[in-house]
Formats: sequence, C-alpha cells, structure tokens
Amino acid sequence: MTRPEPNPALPGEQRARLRQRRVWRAMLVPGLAAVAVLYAVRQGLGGSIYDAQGQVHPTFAIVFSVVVALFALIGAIWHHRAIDEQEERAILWGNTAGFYTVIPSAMIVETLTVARLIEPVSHVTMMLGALAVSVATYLWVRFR
Amino acid sequence: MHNRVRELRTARGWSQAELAGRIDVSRQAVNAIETGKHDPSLTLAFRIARLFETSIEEIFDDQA
Repeated sequence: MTRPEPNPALPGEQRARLRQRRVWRAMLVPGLAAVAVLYAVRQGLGGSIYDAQGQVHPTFAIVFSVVVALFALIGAIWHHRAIDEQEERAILWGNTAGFYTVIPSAMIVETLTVARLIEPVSHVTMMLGALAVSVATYLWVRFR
Repeated sequence: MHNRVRELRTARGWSQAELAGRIDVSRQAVNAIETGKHDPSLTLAFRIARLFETSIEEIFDDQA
C-alpha cells in the first residue's frame, strides 16, 4: 500500500497543513464513527447500555468489541499511511518501552502474587501503566 | 549526524513547515533532522538532496 503523494503544485506550508490534517483525520474519523455506531446501538436498546439486572447488555458488549476492533484497524491503516519516518521511530520506541515495562512487571507481579506476598493487581492497571510509559516515551522522541 | 539542512532552508527563506510540506514530512521531523536528533532514511535524504539540487554528501556528513 503506497502513501498518498503530495501535490507538488501546492505551496509547501499548505501541503504541510494537508498532511497534518491526514494524521488527525486518521485518528478522529474512525473514533467518531465508532462512537456514532455505539450510540445508535444504545438507542436501539432503549436508550441504555444496561439490562434489567444493571449489567452491561450482552448485545452492546458484543457490538462494542467488534466495533472497537474494526475501527481501530481502520484507524491504524489510515494512521500508518499518514505518518512520517520520524513519527514511526517515536512509535517504535514508545511501543518498545511499553513492552519492556509490561513484561517484567507482569512476571514480578505474578510471582509475588503466587507467593502470596502481595494482593493480585488488576491487569488493566498494569496495562495502563505500560501505556503511560509508552506514551511518555513516544512524546519524548517525537517532540524533544 | 551533522547536516546543512537548516542552512539550505534558511538560505531560501523557507520556514520549517514550508520545507516539511515540500518533502512530505511533519514540521517536527524537519526540526529533528536539523538538530541532528533524527537521521533521515536514504529515501528522505535523496528527496531533500533533490529539492536543494545538490548531492546527499553535500548536505549530510557523518564524519563531522
């Protein structure tokens, strides 16, 4: 898949703005479309995502899973085509830092938990911690 | 790697955004190249050299 070629007839600053717009569109359009689909599903379920027992409705949960996976894939493809090599490098280092944060953390937490030295830690908490490291590294490489 | 991108850009009176648009990268990428924090790929180095109508060796110097 090739990236869109810049229009050489346009002034450089205008091309730079169009390029920046491509990046934002890649991130925002799939996100907003996913929100719109989920909102429509919520309306179809009577205006609430919860069932009579106060649990998240299974239909909503299934649609949510499919929509998030599908629109994240679309966003990833668009985003991949919109970024440049310096941002690719920032994403690479961000992901690498996140990877090296979550793997040792998971091993340490799991071992300490099995040994009953600590209470179990939520996987979501650990994932968010790794994500924070990943984002901080990305921002440092990208904007330092 | 030492390079003359900033010198060549300012000589033409271009902003970083103007150069970024002409070589199809972000302004942050131009800044990172100019400050030596990012070494461009061979493809991008050729694009920069063509834009400034010179050779890659005239712009980038890994010996400096």
